[in-house]
Amino acid sequence: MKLRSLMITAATAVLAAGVAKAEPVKLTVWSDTARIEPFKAFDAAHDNIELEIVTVAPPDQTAKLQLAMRSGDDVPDAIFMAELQQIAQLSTRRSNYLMDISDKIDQSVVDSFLPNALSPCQSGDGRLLCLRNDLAHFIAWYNKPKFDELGLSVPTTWEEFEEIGKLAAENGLIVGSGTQPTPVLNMLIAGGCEPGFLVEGSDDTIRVDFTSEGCIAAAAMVDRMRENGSLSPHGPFEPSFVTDVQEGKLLMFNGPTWFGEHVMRPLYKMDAGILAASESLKWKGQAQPQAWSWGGGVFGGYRDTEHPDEVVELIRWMTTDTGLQGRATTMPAHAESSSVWRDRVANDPWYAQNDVYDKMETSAQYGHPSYGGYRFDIMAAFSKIDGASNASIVDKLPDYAAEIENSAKVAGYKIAN
Amino acid sequence: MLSPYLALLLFFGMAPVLYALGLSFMDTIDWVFWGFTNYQFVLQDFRLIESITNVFQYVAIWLTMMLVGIGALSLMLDALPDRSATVLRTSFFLPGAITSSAIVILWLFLLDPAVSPYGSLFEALGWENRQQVVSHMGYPMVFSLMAYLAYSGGWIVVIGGALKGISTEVIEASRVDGANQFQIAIRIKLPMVWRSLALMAILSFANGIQMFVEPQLMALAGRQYSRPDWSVNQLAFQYAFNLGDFGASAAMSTMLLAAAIFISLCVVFGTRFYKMD
Repeated sequence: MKLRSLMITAATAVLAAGVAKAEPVKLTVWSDTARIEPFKAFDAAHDNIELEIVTVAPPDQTAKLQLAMRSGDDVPDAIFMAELQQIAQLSTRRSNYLMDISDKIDQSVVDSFLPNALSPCQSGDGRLLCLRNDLAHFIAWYNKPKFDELGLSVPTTWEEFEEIGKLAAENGLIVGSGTQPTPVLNMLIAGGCEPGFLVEGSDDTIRVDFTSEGCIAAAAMVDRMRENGSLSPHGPFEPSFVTDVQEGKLLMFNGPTWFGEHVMRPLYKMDAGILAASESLKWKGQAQPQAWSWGGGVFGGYRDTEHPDEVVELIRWMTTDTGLQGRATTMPAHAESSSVWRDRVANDPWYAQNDVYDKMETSAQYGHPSYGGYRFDIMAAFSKIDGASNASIVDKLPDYAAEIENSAKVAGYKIAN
Repeated sequence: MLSPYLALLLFFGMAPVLYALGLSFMDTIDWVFWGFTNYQFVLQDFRLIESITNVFQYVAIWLTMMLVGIGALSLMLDALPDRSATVLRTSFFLPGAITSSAIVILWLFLLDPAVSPYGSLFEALGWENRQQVVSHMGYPMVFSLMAYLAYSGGWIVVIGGALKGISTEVIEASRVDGANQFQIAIRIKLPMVWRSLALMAILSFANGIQMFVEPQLMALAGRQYSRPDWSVNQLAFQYAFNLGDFGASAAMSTMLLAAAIFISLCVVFGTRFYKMD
């Protein structure tokens, strides 16, 4: 009898609570597979918001959004963008998806990100269109036991890198890939090539320049290193390259911050105690390195959403919650989360040294300020020319410039002289 | 009798075409009439000439391969005893049972010297990696080989059927007149099935100039192979789904359709395809 009345009281209490509580706001989000868990974590942490998570393959996202916006149905309230050109593609007159969050996000939040982290989200005319999830600038990964064995010191400049490449080639080793567009582009941009950067203060005028001395020197270095075989003729995800690495032939790799955790470990199956990292490389004449990035996703919201406050909260929480970002698989763009994340990397015995995170963090300030989203695909323009012939990169520089200028014009940009 | 066909044609053929034609004269963002602006935009695209050249190179190589390859194989099969011909025909048909998108994936491996069964051939030619194989062969050749593998089997069966239709009296008469196997094939059988071969050419042509899947999927092999604007149809896709400009996309598709219809009509009337003998 007692038990029954207790149960009734409990049931009434639950019922009353249910009535008193407001209906949760429902948001639809589009996610890649890696972001499903983080979105679920947000859902669990917020009683007032309920998420409907739809998985969309990153390359298909722009196309699917165009269709959704055209039909006016099922437009998501927020999206994760793994490909940064989507930021620019989704904020044009033709496809105006992204919400301007400049005055919805406190300056203190903006300041809580690592240096250069938010530059892809800032449009040329000063709008803030997204918040960054992770950083992916290029650093210098190296094989520590091999370096010790050959008695080498870790390079800090591209000149030293080329010397090490020569030595590597003599020993049948490789120091990177000479065909994968992004790493090659990183070397060119580090030297000063400008494959289409927004002119300061403008949102639709870009500058293309492949004629500077530093740019040509960088291209010539890549040519020489392709020639002597220190840069592999295979892309880093191709079977031949993977075999080479598994046979212990990789001495060094200038790669993004996620390369250790997401490629060296799972794909190359590198043993513990081998991989170490060093800061991004610079040219001797430069005051500091200029590191390009490879990826580093962002969260953005829908400008016509019915629940702008909740969407902004979602974007903010996903990128700055230290509990969530601290255990992320890629380097958090948010400074405080990043230092939580550091402890995990520092204590991971798989790395040969425990300063991997510190090198990543120092290098973050060298991140290229022009890295970000453009409405056209710089990489596609680049690989189109590169794949068209086997001529040297130095000879192809004018072709890259022409192709990029043309692509930019079709996408509605003006070219600065 | 015609009405089911007409209904389907109207709803799934004419209606989308008319819709696209309408769209191509509109600014699809603010919904105002734009006249020929979209056409102008598309015709000024620097990639247009290049993609047209690409597509025609591909169609020329592929159609030649189809006509010569399928013609020769079908005639040879027809000269074989029935049972062995059936076994061979089925084995030719098998690669065609794989969809063309899957064939692209298959070819990405076939073109990589490290894993390809033809690796030693590529090495003998001095092609060390997939990029070199692709750039030496050229994209039109690579795509032609892919498409040949995907479509030849089905057509070998069709042409085989046409050859079966030739009356044995004709063949025997020519044999009595002293014709050998080769002469029978070239002088007797070929002229009697040319219409089926022409049909194949027309359909393959229409199919070929609309190519999309093969170049689009090359990106799966890695960013260095990505060619999102290789064919004309890809350009139309790019306008709609990268730029978000459905009007420009409609303009490009409309022109592509007009070209396909025009060329097909030329072939049909040029070869007097429907004329009864």
